[in-house]
Amino acid sequence: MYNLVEVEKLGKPAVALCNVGFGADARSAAVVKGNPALRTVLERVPCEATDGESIERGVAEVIEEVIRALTVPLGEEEWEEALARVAAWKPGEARGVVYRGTLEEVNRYFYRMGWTDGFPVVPPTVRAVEEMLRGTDLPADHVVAHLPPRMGKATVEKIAVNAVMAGALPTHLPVIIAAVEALVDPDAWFGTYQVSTGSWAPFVVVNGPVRRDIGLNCGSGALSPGNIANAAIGRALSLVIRNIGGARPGIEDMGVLGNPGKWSMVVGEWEEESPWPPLHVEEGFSSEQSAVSVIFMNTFVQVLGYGSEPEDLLRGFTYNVPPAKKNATAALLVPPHLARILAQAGWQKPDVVDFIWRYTQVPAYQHPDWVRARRLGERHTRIGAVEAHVAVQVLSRKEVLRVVVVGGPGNVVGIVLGGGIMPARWVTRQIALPRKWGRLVTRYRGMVPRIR
Amino acid sequence: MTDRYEVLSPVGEAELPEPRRIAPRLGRLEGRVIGLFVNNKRAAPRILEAVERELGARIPGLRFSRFHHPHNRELWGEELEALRRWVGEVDGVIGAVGD
Repeated sequence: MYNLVEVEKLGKPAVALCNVGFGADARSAAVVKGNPALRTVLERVPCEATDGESIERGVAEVIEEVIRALTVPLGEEEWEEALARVAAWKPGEARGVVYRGTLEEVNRYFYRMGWTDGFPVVPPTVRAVEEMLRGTDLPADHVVAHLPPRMGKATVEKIAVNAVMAGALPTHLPVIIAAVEALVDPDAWFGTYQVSTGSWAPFVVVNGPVRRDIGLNCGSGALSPGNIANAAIGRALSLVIRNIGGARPGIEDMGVLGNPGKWSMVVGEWEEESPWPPLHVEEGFSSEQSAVSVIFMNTFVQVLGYGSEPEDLLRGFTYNVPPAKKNATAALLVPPHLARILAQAGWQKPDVVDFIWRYTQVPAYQHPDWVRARRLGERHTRIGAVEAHVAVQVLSRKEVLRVVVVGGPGNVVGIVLGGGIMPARWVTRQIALPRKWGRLVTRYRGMVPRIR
Repeated sequence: MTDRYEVLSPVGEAELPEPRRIAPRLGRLEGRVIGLFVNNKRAAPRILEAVERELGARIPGLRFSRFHHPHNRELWGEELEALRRWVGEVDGVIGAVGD
């Protein structure tokens, strides 16, 4: 849609042909780009169709409408309707105190406004937000990013408001800010993941000394609920995306099934127990620095290793990557004691990546490109040309696979898979700590579950 | 539970561009060059092939030109320049979202 707006800007008439289920999404994109009357013709071709007959039928049904969209001038009534969509787009008051009420009233108001994730939130009072802002030396009005699709201004203060709502501590704020910076790096493809049918969630790996300062869980159950840092950092990020980026489910966020990872997918790498250099060092930072690394994921596989010998451990990965994840960015999660078995046998992280990339194979008939080649006649593709039972590699991009050492005892490995049709990469950003970090850490260090 | 809270808005400020009307329409399509904007969604090329067949069967002298978008996000840099050059060569554009 955005590119058709560019066509219109150049003075040429444009028409978007899209599935009827995506009409609201298309109209929202046109409003955001200042071209609210951009003509959209809604067709009933099945989503992502591959069969020629339904495509022909769906297009034939609307072709006269396409002709009219290109030839008939804009009517005043049509323009008034477009302006009404602009007026209705306003997401709610962004400035100052927006509500006064009890805990219950605040929560019900925020929920009705679409500002929560469904769970109760901590009321973002001025005092709570001021306390949250102790987590950064950046001015409150500093704009960290503009978040699509609404291109909302993610100021430090707005990030802090959402962090308070998520139940985060001020010591979590620098991690959240760095994660927001990472989101908007073009290599993360946030703008596309945010609105994609694939239901993508940010997967965040935290490295460096900050993990210990904030009590981030790097061990048993790191991806489970129960630890405030893992839970609240991810939840805050999710609320930032919702309230500042503004993607509404079923309107801009077209995720078909949704993704529980959107609650929170935050882990720390267990650097102290790892035999290998940590992720952020691989990305060019020093071990004394703290950093967040981000990809967008929609699939999490965890399996029992196929044995305790190095190759058998790794077969847990190679036999369990879904072939549809051919373009995946991925985090290969290896618990520390399994990492040590590999390291003692001479394996380094790049060796593990190479093995998994090379030997994750399926019979060609299971690979989506092979099926597509049969349906669409694209037999010239590498995989389309081979026989059905020939083994073919699944993962097309070795350079976007990373090993992360995390987890507790047990012979279980995990694979966090991103990808889709977006050529995304890992993005890593340094975490900037405030000058009075030590004092802040001391103040909040006791905030740990008694079970530990 | 009866304490009262004054709470700040979590919504990020955002400014919409001034709404623009759409570009002038073509009136008639006969003899025009229609651009087909193809993104990387798998259904998009097939949908636009069908559009070409349907329009071609109805309108004499209609010609087509394709722009292949390598992905499905907003173009910038050299890709945007390529789009602009292509738009200069066509009379109107049909894009298939392909979802």
